[in-house]
Amino acid sequence: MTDTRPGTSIDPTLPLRAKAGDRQAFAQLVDVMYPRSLRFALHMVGNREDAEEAVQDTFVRVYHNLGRFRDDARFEPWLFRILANRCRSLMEKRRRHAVVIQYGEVPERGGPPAAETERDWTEEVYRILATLPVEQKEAFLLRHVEDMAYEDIAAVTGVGLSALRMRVKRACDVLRARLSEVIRDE
Amino acid sequence: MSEGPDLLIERVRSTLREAPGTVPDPRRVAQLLSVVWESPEPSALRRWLDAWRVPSLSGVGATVVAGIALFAGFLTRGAVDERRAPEPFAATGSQTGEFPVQFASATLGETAPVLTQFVLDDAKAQRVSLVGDFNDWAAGATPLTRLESGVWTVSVPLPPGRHVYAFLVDDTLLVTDPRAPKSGDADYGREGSVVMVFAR
Amino acid sequence: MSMHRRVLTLVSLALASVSAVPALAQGPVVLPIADAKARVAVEREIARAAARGLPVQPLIAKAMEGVTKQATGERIQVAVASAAKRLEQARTLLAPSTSVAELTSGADALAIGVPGAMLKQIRAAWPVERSVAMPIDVLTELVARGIPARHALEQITVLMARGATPSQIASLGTSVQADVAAGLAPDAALEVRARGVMSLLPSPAAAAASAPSGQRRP
Repeated sequence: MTDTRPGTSIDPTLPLRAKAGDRQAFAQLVDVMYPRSLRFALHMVGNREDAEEAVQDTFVRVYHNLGRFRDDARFEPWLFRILANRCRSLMEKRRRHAVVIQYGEVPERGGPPAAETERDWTEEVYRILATLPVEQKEAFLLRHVEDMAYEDIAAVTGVGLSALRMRVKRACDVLRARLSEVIRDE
Repeated sequence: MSEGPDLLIERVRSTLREAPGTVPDPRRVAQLLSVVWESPEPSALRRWLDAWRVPSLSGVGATVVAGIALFAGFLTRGAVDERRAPEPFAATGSQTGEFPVQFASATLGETAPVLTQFVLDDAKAQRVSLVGDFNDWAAGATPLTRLESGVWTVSVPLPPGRHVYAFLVDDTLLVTDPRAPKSGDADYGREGSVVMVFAR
Repeated sequence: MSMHRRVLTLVSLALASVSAVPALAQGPVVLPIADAKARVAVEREIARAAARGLPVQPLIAKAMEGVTKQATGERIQVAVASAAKRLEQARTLLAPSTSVAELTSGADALAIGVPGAMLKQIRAAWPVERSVAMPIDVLTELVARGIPARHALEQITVLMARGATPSQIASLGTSVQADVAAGLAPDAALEVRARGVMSLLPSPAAAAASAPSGQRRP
């Protein structure tokens, strides 16, 4: 239940079996996709509570809409499309509140200097990610963290390929520019 | 693109993939499956409509189907609600803000058990017992006494702290305390009630 | 299962838990779980926990809770395994505390989503010989009422540093409970009630002067 590696393959028969009412198949889908979904949601919304809410809500929606899932469609983009929408809705809902990044347990403090540097790096990555426009963040996470093909990201976001490539590039540019300073400090 | 920036993005990717807090809590997963599996099955009409949704419908056709689905959904919802047994652990009364009454035993200090009274209004019940983390959720271990008014009550000494409990009515139905706040239960998907016990 | 059998089981559980590790290591407890396979798995989980030096009573309670709630054997098995894992995490986070009350409170806090780092902060706010079970319970309760964990932790650790007693900290929890039940926004309730408790405490200078040696600030 802890495998968050991108590209964790889904048995293509699972969604179809779940659609036919096989609860065990749905449980397996959850087992495979929950960790990745939680990771994506956490990076999108920035706190565990909302991320959990988005993921739980997504899987409930998936379950109730399995009847609409086309037999020839791919499950992963379909799930991420629902999840991305939920994340966007939650972010919109929380927009008026101050941005507080709560990535669960903070790594141990007081470690050796190298660990401290790594912590600074990690915090800086989160900080920059939180400042990216939501559409850039979404495209970057799907491409570089979830390893999705641009065609699948297009299915998730409903945006054309060239626009998606531009979003990912811009996100990379910002990350490079701002993180280069951290690397220099190291 | 130079090698440096690619390595940098690669490092970002590793950082985000291994971010803390992304390991799922098995309780939340269990809770999800519980919620999903305990929800009503889609009606036959809903499945039929789902199956026929994909073929390209005209705008009018889609509107008609949507109308039928809405109407069917409305009817089905009513039918499901009527069929459903009362929710286990559903509150049976309004939230009054009155929590289980506690009697101080402060002379023994902060850790001394505090006599705490629990009350349930259920004139129709034949038997009521209190179950919670303080009695290992043992059914029948802490029976309540019925007063003439139909109110059931028991007072038990509890160690200070936060306790989760429920009432077991007629050995089968678990109900929360309508006078107390609720506590979620990711393990078993059944809400409980909460009492904070302390020497006053 | 008959009531008679259940009572016997509970008695045996209680006896087993009193003698904790040796009893569980040598002979597994018998739990009233209908699914034999799940029952054996749960009993083994409890025995393993005992062997690791974890308190078994919270695990027995967790299993019995499942029985009373008529959960499936499989679900009870998952719940007990999760509970054992949380107890172990709590023990690490709350070290050197090892009391059953503190570990149980810590495990319950983790179950509701309180970050582990916060348990460490609470432990650090009082001397090690002083139980932090009540402050953790109050943190759990405040989070359960919808207050962000960080806000709740902040108020609780301030009260701890200012010399509040466990009962005073608990009163914060119950006051906020009542306010939220009455319709007040959780954050607003916390702010108002924390001020109320604070007003009963000595000034920071006086608290620092009377604090036992070794007491650390959060």
